[in-house]
Amino acid sequence: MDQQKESIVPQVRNSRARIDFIVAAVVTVVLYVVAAAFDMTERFLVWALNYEQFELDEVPFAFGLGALAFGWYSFRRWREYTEAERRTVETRHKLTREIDGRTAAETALTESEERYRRLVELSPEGIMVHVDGRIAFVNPAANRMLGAATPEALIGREIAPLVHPDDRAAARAQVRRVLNEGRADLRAEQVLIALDGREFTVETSWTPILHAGRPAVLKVFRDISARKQAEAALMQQKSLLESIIRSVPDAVLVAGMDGRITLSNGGVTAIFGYRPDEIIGQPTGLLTVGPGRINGNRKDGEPALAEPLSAEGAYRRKNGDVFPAETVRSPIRDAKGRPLGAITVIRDISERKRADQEKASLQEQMHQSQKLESLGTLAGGIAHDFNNLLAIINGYGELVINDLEAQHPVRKNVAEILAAGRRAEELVAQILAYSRNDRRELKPLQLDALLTEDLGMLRATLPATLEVKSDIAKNVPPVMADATQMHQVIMNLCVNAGHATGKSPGHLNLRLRARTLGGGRDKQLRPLLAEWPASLRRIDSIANGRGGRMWIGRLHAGRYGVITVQDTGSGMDFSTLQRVFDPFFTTKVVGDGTGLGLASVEGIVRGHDGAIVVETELGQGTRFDVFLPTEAPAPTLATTEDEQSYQGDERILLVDDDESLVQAISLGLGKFGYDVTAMTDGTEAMEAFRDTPNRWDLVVADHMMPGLTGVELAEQALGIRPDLPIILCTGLMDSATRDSALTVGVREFHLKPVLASDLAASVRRIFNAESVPAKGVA
Amino acid sequence: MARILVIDDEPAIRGLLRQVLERAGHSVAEASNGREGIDQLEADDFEMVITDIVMPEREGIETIMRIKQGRPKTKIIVISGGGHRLAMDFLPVAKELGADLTFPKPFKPAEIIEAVDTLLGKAA
Repeated sequence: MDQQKESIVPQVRNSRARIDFIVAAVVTVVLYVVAAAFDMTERFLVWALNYEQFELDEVPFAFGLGALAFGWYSFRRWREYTEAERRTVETRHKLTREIDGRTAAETALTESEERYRRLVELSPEGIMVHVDGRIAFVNPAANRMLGAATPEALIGREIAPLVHPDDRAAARAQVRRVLNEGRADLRAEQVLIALDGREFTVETSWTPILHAGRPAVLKVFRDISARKQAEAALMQQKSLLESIIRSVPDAVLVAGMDGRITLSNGGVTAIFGYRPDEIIGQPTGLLTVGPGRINGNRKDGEPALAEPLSAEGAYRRKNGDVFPAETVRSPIRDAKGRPLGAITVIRDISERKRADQEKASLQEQMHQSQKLESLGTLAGGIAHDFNNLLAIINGYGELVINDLEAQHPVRKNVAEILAAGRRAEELVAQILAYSRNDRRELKPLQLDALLTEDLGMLRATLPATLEVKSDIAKNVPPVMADATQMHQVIMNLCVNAGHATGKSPGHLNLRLRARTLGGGRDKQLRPLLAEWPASLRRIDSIANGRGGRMWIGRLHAGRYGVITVQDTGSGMDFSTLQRVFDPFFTTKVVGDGTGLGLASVEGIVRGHDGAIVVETELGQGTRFDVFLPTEAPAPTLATTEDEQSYQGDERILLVDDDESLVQAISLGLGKFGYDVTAMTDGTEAMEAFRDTPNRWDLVVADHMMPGLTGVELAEQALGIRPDLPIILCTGLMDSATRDSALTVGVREFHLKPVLASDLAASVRRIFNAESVPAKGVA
Repeated sequence: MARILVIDDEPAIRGLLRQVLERAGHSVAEASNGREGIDQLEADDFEMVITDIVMPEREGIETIMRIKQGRPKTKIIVISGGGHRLAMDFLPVAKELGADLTFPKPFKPAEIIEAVDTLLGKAA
């Protein structure tokens, strides 16, 4: 190092300046001494001050001038020397620094080389240098990946065969671009082939470098086969999940933590009506009614997306309809458990709710209907005994009163007894009317004449404050009805209207119209035309429960006489309307009504195959429409014309323990052309049937027989011939008998006493139905 | 003046009808059910039968059928209070089977006398 410093050039130049300076100084001194010797100094001064004495001896002057010149030169050289000296010191310092730095760099380079060598050797990525398409260098990782035992097995090999044929062209193009364009940013995936033939996917980068002074390519590659496999598995899983989400009929939504929708399936479109492009990015609140149904809100107001939820709520469709739905929400979390959002499944349960409501309503109606039926049965059951008792009370009462003189003191008391007896008669009549079976003779009845007749009576009965108006059409065809019962219907409805109006002035409108129904076009009547059990009532609330609309009975397409009784009275709320036809329900004070008025109206109208529509609202009054068919219902008693249509030649087995009855019916059915085998013992009849089950086309059996009941006989016979039509006759039709008979498979029922014509009608109904394909089947 | 058979299982009703009819000058026999009634009809001559329908032993409908088979000229009035267990109205059936007149219970005595007179008057 020191030798290097000694040989530096400025040092040499500096020493020469010093010598020059010393020599010039010595010459200056010598010249000055010589000039002094010639006493020139004084002379010079005189010359300098006096131009006239210019002519002096020129020798001392010359020496003096020389000394001056050398003195100047000497000064210059001195300056040069000191300047050079300063620079030399500076340069020396600089050099020292430079040399120190260079030494450090050399050390670092060595260390770095070592480090890079280690890096290359230890790198998990394959590193390879190739020159002119041949491998010049490989690191151990590349060696391993390519399945070579040593680097020598690869060095010198062509690179191309190690690249999958599908990727070779692309790889060549990349290498060209690296070499020609100096691009160092090229990356690609390619499949390499190891020496053992194994294929593996790598992610490769290419960089141009110089290798031994020649342009080469540095190829760095990483085995990504495992990652590719994982990716493929993930893709498969993703597409599986997507197809699951797509195929779910429910609405499936994914929302981020901001509550905005990021994914929606076809169910969302089907249920809510929003296409995915309309809903993605929207807040979930768009679908909900009220705040935070899907997201939910915690008490602190933060969205509770991160919490699972299973709830029922109200949602809103795009068209504004609100519907009930079940929601299940699960939070979505990242690998560290941080919430990312939630997946929500919304199931539209409006159909289910509707069905549930309908079911509940039907059950309620069934319950109501059963209650009324049992009340009717009870009422009918006591009516016979009650009528007997009343016949006795009233009959003897009349005898007594007739025997008494006009002024007899007891007469007034007996009259009271008789009056009570008459009221009891009316009550029983109402009960029987309600229980619907008190069907009197149905005859063609002109409703207009009947209403006109009733009007007179009504004007006399109803309070004077109630103005009775009438609008009675004359073109209404006769209805098949019992006049007394129709009077009862009209009087009951009008008297009720009078009660509803009370003492305040009001109107009562009594109207009669002919009406043709068909096709269910009339929305108001649809409930009566629908396939709704005729025994049930249907009731809807209107004006928020301040009123209601009720339909009773069932109508078929056809022509009807419609009696309308409309009042301007107090009207009824929904809950009153619900009960207004119930027997013994009354809003009147004790003694004003029996609570059977409307119940008997219902019974009578149903008994006439009619229907009732009621519409009422508190303060608005009430309107009753009574529909009565103008065509005869199925005849209960045969006419001559019908009798011809009852004829047939089927073979009938008739079983009844009452000999005379069997004979009478057997004769009657014989007249219609039937081939009747009459038997009086159920067990014997069953044996005969078992022997020759195909000898008969139909069985008519009494239910109450000693030994074998009709239902038992039917069960056994149907066990042998399931297609056998069986008609059951019974004096007592309780629901248990009816249910068991229906379960067994009995086709029709007849209440005793039974007429041959009724049976013949049943027989024809059964066989005609069998010969004509049943409606609605297939 | 006619011979009338009253068939009813209720003695008080029979008694009532007897009194009403006897006051009108008719002679009355009683039977408590259809079987007894038919027995009496076979043993004796009656111009008229007033019968109930719902009765033990033999009910009225069957009784009417029997009477119409054996003695078609006998006048028949049916008085019924309705079905015993079911509120079934048998009166139209009775009429169909040959009853000349029918009355629901409770009846007015005057109606019965009027009916009897009408039927017997027609016959005479």
